[in-house]
Amino acid sequence: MRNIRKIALIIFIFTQTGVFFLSHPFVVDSGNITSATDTLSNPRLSFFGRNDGALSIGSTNIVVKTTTSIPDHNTGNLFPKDTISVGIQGNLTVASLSAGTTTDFSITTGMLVPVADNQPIYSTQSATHTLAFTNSSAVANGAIRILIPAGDSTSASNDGAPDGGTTAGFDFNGITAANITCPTGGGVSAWETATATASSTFGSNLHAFECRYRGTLSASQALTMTIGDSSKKLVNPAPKTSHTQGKADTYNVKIQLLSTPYYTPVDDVIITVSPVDGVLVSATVVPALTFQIQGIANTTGHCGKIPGTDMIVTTTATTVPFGEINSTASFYDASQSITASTNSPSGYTIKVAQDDELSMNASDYIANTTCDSTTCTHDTSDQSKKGLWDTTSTYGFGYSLENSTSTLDFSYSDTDSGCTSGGATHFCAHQFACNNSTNCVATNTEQRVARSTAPSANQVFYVCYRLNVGPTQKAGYYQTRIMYYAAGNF
Amino acid sequence: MRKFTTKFIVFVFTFTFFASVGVNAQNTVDLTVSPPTQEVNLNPGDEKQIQVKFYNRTDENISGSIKKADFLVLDKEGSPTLFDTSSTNNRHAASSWITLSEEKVVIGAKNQAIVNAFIKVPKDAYACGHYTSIYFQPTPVTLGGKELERQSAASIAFKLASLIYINVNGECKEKAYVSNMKVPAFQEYGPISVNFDILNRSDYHISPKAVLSMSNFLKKDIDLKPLPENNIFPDAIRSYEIEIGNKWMFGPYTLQVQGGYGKTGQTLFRTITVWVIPWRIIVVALLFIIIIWLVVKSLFKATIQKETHLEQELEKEMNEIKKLKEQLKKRE
Repeated sequence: MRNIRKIALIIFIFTQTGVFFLSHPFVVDSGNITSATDTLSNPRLSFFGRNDGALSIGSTNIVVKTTTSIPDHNTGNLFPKDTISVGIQGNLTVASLSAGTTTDFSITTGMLVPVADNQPIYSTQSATHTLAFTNSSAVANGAIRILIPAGDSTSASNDGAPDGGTTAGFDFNGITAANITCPTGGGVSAWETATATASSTFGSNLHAFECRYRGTLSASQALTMTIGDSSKKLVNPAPKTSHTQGKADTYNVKIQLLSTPYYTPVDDVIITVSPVDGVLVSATVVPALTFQIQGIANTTGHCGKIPGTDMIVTTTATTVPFGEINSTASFYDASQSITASTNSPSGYTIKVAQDDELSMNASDYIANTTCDSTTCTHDTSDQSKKGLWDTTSTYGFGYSLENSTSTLDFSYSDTDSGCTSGGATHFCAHQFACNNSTNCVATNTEQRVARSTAPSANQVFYVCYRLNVGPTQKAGYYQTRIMYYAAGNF
Repeated sequence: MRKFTTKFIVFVFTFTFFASVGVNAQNTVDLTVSPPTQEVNLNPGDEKQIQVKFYNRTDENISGSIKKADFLVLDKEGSPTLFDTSSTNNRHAASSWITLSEEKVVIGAKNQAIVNAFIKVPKDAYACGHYTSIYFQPTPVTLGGKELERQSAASIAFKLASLIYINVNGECKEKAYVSNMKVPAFQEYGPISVNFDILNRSDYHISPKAVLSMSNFLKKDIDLKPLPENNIFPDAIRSYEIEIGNKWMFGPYTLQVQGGYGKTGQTLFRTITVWVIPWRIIVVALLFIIIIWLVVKSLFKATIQKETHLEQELEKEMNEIKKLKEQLKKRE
């Protein structure tokens, strides 16, 4: 009897063992998946904050709550032009982040609905996952399965809203088989339609994406599977509770090669993906107006004057040294260049005046020219008040302008109004306005010589100074100061 | 003795070094001011600090004065005119409200000077617009590197200004007009060049947002041009010249300036009518039609006359044949 029991027990154990091994046969050549990567089309973490204080209709300034249990408790992960939702209102655009705080930002348009305090602020960052890998084993009629971490196994992981904090993970975002691209090739007869299973259905904190195939997948095949497409993607996680800004959060993605008939893993590998905060690169272009004066050597001619012959004075940025006037009744010409730039929308204006006539003392001075016509004045706003100054029997001190890239109020080669018979070989001139009531024989306000009405870069023009001293001019040193006024337009 | 020798050597060395360093006139002076304009809103009695930066873009230090000056806009193009001494009746002056952190600065090569300006609005300040500026003026002695030599010369200097608009809160009059709207009463072709002014009679500067539109005799809008958004100084005029329309136009066109300005939604409105008739083309076309008509008429007339003549000749011939036939019958 005892023997019978022993034999029965042996037969039972043998039968059970046999059934077990027959139903779970060993797979030949099993191993790890190699060369595995998961490339995210957008690695930025999603933003998940909450508003501090109720928002009324029309509000454009939003303050983020600083409670540390909220995944985003400052604006460090928010950027201008991000699309956000606040409470029930979506499609808002971040205009700017407050420079002075880490909690305030503004939106481009006002709120259309009132929003209560502590409502979620989402800025969703979505990405396609492109998984590339090489299998080790040859498996017949199997499947490739990708497991991507979800925040939890509830429907909250499939609502399209970023999941962060204690339930940080990729949101399934209602993705379907149509959004999955299965591998191709690999020696199989055919790849079947993919399946996509949210964590709430899969039963753990993982979203599953599976591509089954018919035929035998050869060993060592380089395969690529893509989750998400242009119409639908997984939503990147919001920061984890322990997140440090600037440091990536890590998530483990599992790639498996499954065998039939129970789709158990043959090959597998765990790889890490690391969504990270974006980096805001910003620069402030300050409004500015630049003014430059340069001296010009007498080896360079301007205003139609021949270097060395007509243009005999070398200037610096700060002086026009006519020097000793040995020859009366002949022109002493000199020039300077002036350059202006501004990014001001209204442009700039450059005016000029002298603070005295070219004077030796209170009573002895070289008068400002009245040009050949004897009618030219300082007034650059009146084109009839300019005049040709070509004859050496006309004495005095005056100036003209030559345009390069600027907009001038008159030019040496003008042929209109006061300079009708002028041209490139003539010298259409004005007096300098004299604006110092203590020194000047007649006082006038400074006169505009160049301008722009819009932002402009490096606009250049030349000022040509001309001195012609009459034979009866009293000997001595004659000096004046020419003052340029550079300002943005009103 | 030893100490004295050391001091003497240091003195001689230092003197020799500085004496040997020539001071040359700068060939380029290059300065940037930022911002060129800025606007602040304050209440009577308020205080505020603002900044103006002057950046020396050359490789040499430059020293100079920081000064303040009120300004007015006297032309029609928005050019500011600075007044170091403001007239007593300038109700828009504000330079006396400003205290500068420094009045003399040396701006290092490739470096900047930051000037703090403290604005203190008097409690009894006249509300609305006040306009002043802060400018840098190089010191003549250092600008030239040395005093002007004993020769005839002009020294060159400049004032580089940052304009400051201070709006003092209070009750302000807002009034502006479109004036001097001019177009030729008749044009052969488009486009039409429209000239007009906007006169700002408000207590502060305005920036009208307006458009110039053009409609034809069917009241249909043909073209629309936005006006540049320029600031207009109080009691100043801003001129506009805008081209509107296409080359090919015909009939009467109504040009209309309309827009808004100010804080209380004031409006600007002005219309004018212009006729555009390409009369030369019309005359040429009419002449062409008349010539064609005359040619056709002439050809037609000639053909009819010829036909009549032929018919008459034919009839004559037929009559002769008839007579001949009758004569022939009689002989038989």
